[in-house]
Amino acid sequence: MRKMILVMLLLSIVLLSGCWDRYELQDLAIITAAAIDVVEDEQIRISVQIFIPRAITSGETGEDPSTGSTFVREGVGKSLAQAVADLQTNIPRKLFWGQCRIFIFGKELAEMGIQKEIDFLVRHPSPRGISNLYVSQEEAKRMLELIPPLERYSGEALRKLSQQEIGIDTTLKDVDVKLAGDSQSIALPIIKVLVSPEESRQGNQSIPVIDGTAVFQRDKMVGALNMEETSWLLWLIRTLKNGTISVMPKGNEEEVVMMPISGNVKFNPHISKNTWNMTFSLEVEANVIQNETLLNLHNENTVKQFEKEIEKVLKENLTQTMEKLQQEFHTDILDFGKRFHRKYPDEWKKVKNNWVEKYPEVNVTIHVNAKINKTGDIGPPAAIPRDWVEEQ
Amino acid sequence: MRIRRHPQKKKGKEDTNRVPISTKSQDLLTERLDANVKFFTDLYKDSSDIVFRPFTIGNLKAVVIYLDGLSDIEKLDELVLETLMNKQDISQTDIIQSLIDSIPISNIKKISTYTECIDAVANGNPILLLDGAKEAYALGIVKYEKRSIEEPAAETGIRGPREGFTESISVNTSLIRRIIKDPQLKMKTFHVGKYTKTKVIVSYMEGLVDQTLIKEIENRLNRINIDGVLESGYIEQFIEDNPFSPFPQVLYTERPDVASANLLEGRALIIIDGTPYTLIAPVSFFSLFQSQEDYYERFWIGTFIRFFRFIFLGIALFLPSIYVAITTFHQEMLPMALLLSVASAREGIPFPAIIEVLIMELTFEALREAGIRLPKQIGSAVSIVGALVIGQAAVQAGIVSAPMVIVVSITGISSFLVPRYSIGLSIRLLRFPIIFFAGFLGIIGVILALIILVIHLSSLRSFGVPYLSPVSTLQKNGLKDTIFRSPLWKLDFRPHLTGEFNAVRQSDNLKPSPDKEEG
Amino acid sequence: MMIEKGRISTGQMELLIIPTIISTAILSISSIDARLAGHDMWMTPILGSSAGFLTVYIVWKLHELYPGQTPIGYSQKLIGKVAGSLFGLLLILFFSHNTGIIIREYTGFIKSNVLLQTPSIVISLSLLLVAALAVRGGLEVIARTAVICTFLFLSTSIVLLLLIPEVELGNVLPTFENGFIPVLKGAFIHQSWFSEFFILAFIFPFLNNTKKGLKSGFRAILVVMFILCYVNFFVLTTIGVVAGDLYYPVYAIVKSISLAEFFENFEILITASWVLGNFVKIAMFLYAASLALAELFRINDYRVMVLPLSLFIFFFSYWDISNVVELVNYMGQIQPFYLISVQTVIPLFLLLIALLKKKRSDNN
Repeated sequence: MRKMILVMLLLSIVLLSGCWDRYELQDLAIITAAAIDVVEDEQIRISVQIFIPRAITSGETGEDPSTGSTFVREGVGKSLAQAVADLQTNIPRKLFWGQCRIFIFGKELAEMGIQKEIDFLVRHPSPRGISNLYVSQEEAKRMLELIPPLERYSGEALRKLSQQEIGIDTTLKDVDVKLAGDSQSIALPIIKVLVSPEESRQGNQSIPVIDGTAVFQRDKMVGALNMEETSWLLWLIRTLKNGTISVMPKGNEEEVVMMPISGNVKFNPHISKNTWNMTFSLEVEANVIQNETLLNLHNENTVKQFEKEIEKVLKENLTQTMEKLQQEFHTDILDFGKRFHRKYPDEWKKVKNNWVEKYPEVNVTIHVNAKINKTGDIGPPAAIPRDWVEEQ
Repeated sequence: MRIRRHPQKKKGKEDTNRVPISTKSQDLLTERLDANVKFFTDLYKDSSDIVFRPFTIGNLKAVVIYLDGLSDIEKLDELVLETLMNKQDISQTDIIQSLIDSIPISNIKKISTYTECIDAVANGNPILLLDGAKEAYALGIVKYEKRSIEEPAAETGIRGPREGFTESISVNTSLIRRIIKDPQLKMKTFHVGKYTKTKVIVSYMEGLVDQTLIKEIENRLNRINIDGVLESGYIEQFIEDNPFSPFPQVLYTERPDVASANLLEGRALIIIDGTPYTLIAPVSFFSLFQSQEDYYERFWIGTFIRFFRFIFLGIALFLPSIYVAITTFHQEMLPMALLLSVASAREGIPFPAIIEVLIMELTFEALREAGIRLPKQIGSAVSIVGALVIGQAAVQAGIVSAPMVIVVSITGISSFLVPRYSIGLSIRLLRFPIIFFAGFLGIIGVILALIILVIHLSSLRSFGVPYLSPVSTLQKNGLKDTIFRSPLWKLDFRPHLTGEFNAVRQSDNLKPSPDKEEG
Repeated sequence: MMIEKGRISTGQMELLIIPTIISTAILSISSIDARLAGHDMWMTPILGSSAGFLTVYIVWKLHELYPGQTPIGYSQKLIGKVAGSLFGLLLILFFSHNTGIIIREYTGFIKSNVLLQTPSIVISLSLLLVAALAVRGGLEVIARTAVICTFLFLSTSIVLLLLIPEVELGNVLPTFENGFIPVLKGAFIHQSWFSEFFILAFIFPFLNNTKKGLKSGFRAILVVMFILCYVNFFVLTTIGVVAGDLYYPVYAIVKSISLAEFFENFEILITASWVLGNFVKIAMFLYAASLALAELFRINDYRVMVLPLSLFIFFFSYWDISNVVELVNYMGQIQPFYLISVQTVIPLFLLLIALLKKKRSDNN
């Protein structure tokens, strides 16, 4: 009996003394996305998109699409940490970072370097390693103010776009690992506001969309690739599944459009007599999805020819993109450094400290091997009299 | 295996206000009929239901004493009174024996003490007193109103026998005897209760059961010294190993098939007169999750349902506390879309989540309790009020959030999935302290509560059998019939309970296959 | 003098000892490993387990020479009453101190990741008291509880398999970049954990089947080794050597699990199951310390020692180490020497003395 009383006493002490980490959902400001900008005097400004729970209560009346279910608040400070502290003073509820998966950096800040901000995000226990990072063409805060017509908030729209593999997909963990690793370069997607052609929609009723790739040398943004270059860059990283590739066969003014269905990317580093070579080989299989020419695709030779054409187009563009990265930006976002390190650890030790200089000197050879798998459900061009079709 | 013995306390002082018999010699019947009759009339004064019927056989005086309503009066009239009163030729030698021999009743017992007479009358056996005889005769013509054998009310099933135990102990033992015909089935009778003198039978299979277990049960039964036994629960609470535990350490059943299955696994039954519930001991935590249909259906189904039960045991115990822990401590655990929905639902709710859970759980418990106690006609009204008022209106009024109602409903349903009602009660009870732990330390609190629970279960024993066996004692053969239900032809061994036991249940080549040679 | 009356099976012993080693190891060992052994960290547990095999063998031999006795008992017979008692006292202090460190590690982790504002005292005491509750139940209760807890604890390690899409096997390369020394350094850290198998000396006398003890001890070592390799492998192939910068790399990789947009963020669940493992570890050490204390002072019931000892351990956990930086340094620099010398080297000397004595008595 005495034991029971003791246990009860202990229990009540424990239970009555309070719950230190308890926060009711009503006391949390759920952050859905955050944007970091640099403002006057090199001050850091953080803007967060906060979800308004009342906006979707009960669901009977529905949401008012013009106001959206989020709002934006900001804090300014000398560092990101101070800015966050300032932000909290403007919000009556406790900031909840646990589900914030989107961090957008303003272009200006990206060009100045993002290492200090990354440090804050990695050190803080709440933001996740799998959060996506972006660079915004304009003020990053602007991206949060948009009200997407389809999604609940612009962050969600952005995240879904990222999953579609149209742009490069970089997480906080990637940035940390890569900047600390051998290559010391990262690439982040660039986003911009989609200009909506619909007149009925107001200015801020739009979504952020991906508009190229920002390439960083160390933590500073040194340049950008546009959408087309981005798609070639993606070819170098993994096979692009959603993209198309079009070729113009010899003697034709029209194009045949193909869609890659599977592919294999391989880097092969090789050092011989002080020259560092990197062989990139790409194997790709594609389906024809549109034929603008008059060629009959039943013909084996035509298909063979197409395959050659694809290889040519890919090789040209990939070489160009590669050169741009290597010669113009000097950024090793394709992890050449890491690949050399793994294969040639001893040689790597020598160049490790001046890899930035060594990197542009690496010879890159590109091999492409393309195959056409299917020409669609028909062979010759559709809706054309049989006589017009060119057999060869 | 050790059996922790109950401390043998000194018996309380003998009660004095019972039968006015203090010595053994005083207890013996006398040869004089009028003295004997006087004793009984004094004893049963102010008892209107006792009947004294004096009559004569030739010139021999005799009296029949019985309790109205407990004995078969028709038989008494036809078989006893008529036979005896019509006796003419009373031979002088051994007159009494010849009289008794002439009564056409199979069960006549010679008794020589007042105490035995009282017991016989109380049990419905009329006693026949003859002048000049030192003994009385208990006539076995008991008859009282009893319920017929019906389908068990609390342990229903789709497949399986539809017979259930009744309140009459002789019916119950006969139901078991009808299943197990082997003479190794033993039944030992005890009487418990100072005033009720309830008949308690300990039944077991000799050769399958560990004899120390039977000894221990007998010891514990003999220790009981109470006024009366009204239900099996009285016995249960006096023979438990750990009376403070919220977990049942003795199982009860009202199905003869379940009782027999347990006998065949080497357990003992404690059958109690006056209740359809028979106790089974020893049990383990996992046997509380077995139902008879696990074995009647094919093993895939049995295994699946077992698995299901354990999952829902977890839900019934922990779901409300996990909900509290997640929504107030670890919000990041919820996927974004779910988090936003829950946040929207909880917006404007005036209570903290832990209070909300407690309100809802208590309301649910109240509804459930009200549903059991109320007459059926009003019961439906209660459920309407519960469903409409608590469910719909509270959510619409913004007092309770909709996710909370869902959580409480799932928890409620889950707790019904446990086949044994007694463990369901424990789960209901334990849910509340776990909620407090969750409100205190979040998921860490829930885990600490889980550890405490496991420690408690680990230290618990039922008649010497570790409560968490065979899982936590890692007995390979036992594991086949706990979380899984192996095919019957694989269950070659009986579960190991205590001490020596007869392990082999069946031959090991029973797997059915059509092309196997017989023999 | 037999203070413990319960008997456990070898299977229960294995399930007791596995979390006793790995529950703190998986927390931060990958970080130290990544710093010391770099790309070769996946193989360090294999080398490190050597200390485990050695320790278990020593303890087993001693157990065979002095069946039914704990180190407290046979040390007094081997090196004399005074020296033996001093050794016993050292062991008790060592167990208490080590348990204090374990609790410190546990509290530090929970406080920095799960319950940021809850006072450390509450976090430490709650688990310590729960462990004390189990120890008061005796060895059988600890073992039976451990079966369930270890099962739940280990089953969550399957979660790491969800990381397979993120695995980059190339991170393992280049092997032996800086020669063999870094691997040895990493293995040395592991040895300190493997030397904790010494605690089996307090379990071997209470096995119900004493013959299988050695085999079962070795099996436990293999399981521990496998799990540590498994964890190190996933740390290495998902975040690489950056793991060295993190205090809790395993937690970091679990945090980045994301499957189908729904199976994510369950690091809390992993933490919760890890608490189960930690509970077994603390209960095990607390049990050994209480048993040793009771035996040393010839007290018939070690249960009365549990609560005072818990309090003592609790003070140890605050007195010694002030923050996580110090803790990691301690684990990387002091602990290996400290643990191995107490748990492997001293028992080795005891065994040598015992063998010499046996030889002498055989000759006579």
